[in-house]
Amino acid sequence: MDIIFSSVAQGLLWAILAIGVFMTYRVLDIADLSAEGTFPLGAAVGVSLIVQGVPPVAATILAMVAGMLAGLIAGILHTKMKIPALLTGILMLTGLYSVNLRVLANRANLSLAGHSTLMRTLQAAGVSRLASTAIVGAISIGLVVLILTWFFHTEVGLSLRATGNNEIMAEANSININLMKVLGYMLGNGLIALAGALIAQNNGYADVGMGTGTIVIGLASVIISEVLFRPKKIAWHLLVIAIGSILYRLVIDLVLTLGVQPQDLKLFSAIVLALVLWLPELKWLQGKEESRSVK
Amino acid sequence: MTMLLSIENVNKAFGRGTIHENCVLRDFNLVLNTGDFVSVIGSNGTGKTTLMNCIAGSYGVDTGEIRLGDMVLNKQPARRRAKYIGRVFQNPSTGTASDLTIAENMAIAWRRGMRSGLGRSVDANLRATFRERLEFLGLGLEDRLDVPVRYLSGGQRQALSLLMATLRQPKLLLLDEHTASLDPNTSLQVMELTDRLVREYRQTTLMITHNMQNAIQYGNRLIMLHEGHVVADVSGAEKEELTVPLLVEMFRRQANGDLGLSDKVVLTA
Ligand SMILES: Nc1ncnc2c1ncn2[C@@H]1O[C@H](COP(=O)(O)OP(=O)(O)OP(=O)(O)O)[C@@H](O)[C@H]1O
Ligand SMILES: [Mg+2]
Repeated sequence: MDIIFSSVAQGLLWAILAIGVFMTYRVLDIADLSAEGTFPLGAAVGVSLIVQGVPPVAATILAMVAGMLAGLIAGILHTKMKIPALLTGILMLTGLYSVNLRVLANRANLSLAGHSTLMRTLQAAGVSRLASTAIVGAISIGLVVLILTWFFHTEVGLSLRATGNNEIMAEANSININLMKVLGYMLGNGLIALAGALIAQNNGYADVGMGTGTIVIGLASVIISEVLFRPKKIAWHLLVIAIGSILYRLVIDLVLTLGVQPQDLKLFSAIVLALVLWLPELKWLQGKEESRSVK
Repeated sequence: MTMLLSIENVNKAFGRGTIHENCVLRDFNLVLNTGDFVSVIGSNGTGKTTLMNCIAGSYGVDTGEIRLGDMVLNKQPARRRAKYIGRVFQNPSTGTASDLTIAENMAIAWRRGMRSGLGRSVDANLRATFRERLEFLGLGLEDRLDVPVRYLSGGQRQALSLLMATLRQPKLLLLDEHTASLDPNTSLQVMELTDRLVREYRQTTLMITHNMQNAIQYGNRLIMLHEGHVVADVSGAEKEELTVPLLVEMFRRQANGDLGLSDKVVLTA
């Protein structure tokens, strides 16, 4: 039971990463690998600020801003310098590796032992460790879903969705598609860095290697949610991603209890994603309506 | 009559400087007056779509000048020109965003050329406006404002694209074989709709078509492109007298490369 609750609580935090990945992968229709660099960036910035005495809330917000700046650079690489999305991601995650080491003061990891975190602030008020994770996760994901739902229905938000959906149509309607792509990169990477900062606080440390596999986790959550719920409205889409993220956590935690060794976990998560990507192709799973093709 | 669009000595080649150099528009000249509804015909690969792309700004031109009213368009990117130029593409899925609803697609067309902010993109007022405009189509789309466009048929999407392209009454409307992928019946419907919209707004329009009947029946002027030039330009009473067999004959001779000087004189006189 505790394991399930723990998976749910952690899934809520990871859902923010999944929504960040959704932003570029689905909304913009760009496969952005920057996540592997911006996730640890968020963790490194958040943790090192807290260690330097910045209050956890401010440190978390600044970590998100750092992610948005990384997104800005990725966006410029892709639009102004016309570097293909895949290469842009590779450049970003390679470059950010050094940046993250610098942020961590040339150490591979940085502990939060003895420092306050969002979760510990709650624990100090008498909340259990697990519940504190769940509360921080629920509040964060709630805010993200609310704000993004509002944003996607504004004029700019609609222009962003149109750009990802049909560039030619967007341009023919005088939308600045490059600006929209940069904005999408910034929002996506901002959210991914936010997730990094929250998860690092929950774990109690930031590690320069913690980015490996983030894109797989994010994509798996997004696709599980789409296969299971076939969301149509954008608000619903964001919500079911959170559910997809929780389910993914459950699967991973389940296999860990079944005896899969932690060092084999990345391989396992890659296999899970491959299976999940394969799911929509299976005829017997397709309902009456067309299934959303996975790009 | 006032001049709206003027294309002067435009040259456009692809792959310039390579062995694949392909001069599509050669010292191209064309003038459209305000209110003109011009059909453009010409065989495959003569550069009709290229011409539209140059006007809309999807392609830059190598030399020459394109003006709209007293504005020089050459330096403006496509997204700026979109403020004045509405477009409908040959492929029904190009003109609309399939994951967005009908209302959202129209909201995007509604804000064409305007600055976007953080205001609500679709409000009750706009919905009423959109419903009214959709009624004009007579396809029942006014009751499906919140349906994603991907659930519409090609004909419905094309009608919607047309409505979106004319929603803010652009100075110039570009139609690129916009009925070509539709069945004969739907194609007729969309053509009738085009004619009604053009009349209602006195919309200056350039329409590419491979349908000789449509080229003759609609609009006040017909031009034929061949090898990067306008080889025929017919309007007024002369256009009234055009028949499909006559046009087909013109086409055939041109394809054989023997459109004589006398024919050109007759047709452009
Ligand atoms: N982006 C491009 N790059 C290279 N060549 C191009 C490009 N666009 C068009 N062309 C070439 O320009 C020529 C004219 O093409 P265009 O599409 O304008 O013809 P079209 O008159 O519209 O033909 P159709 O009736 O088949 O639509 C063709 O030879 C085509 O291969
Ligand atoms: Mg064409």
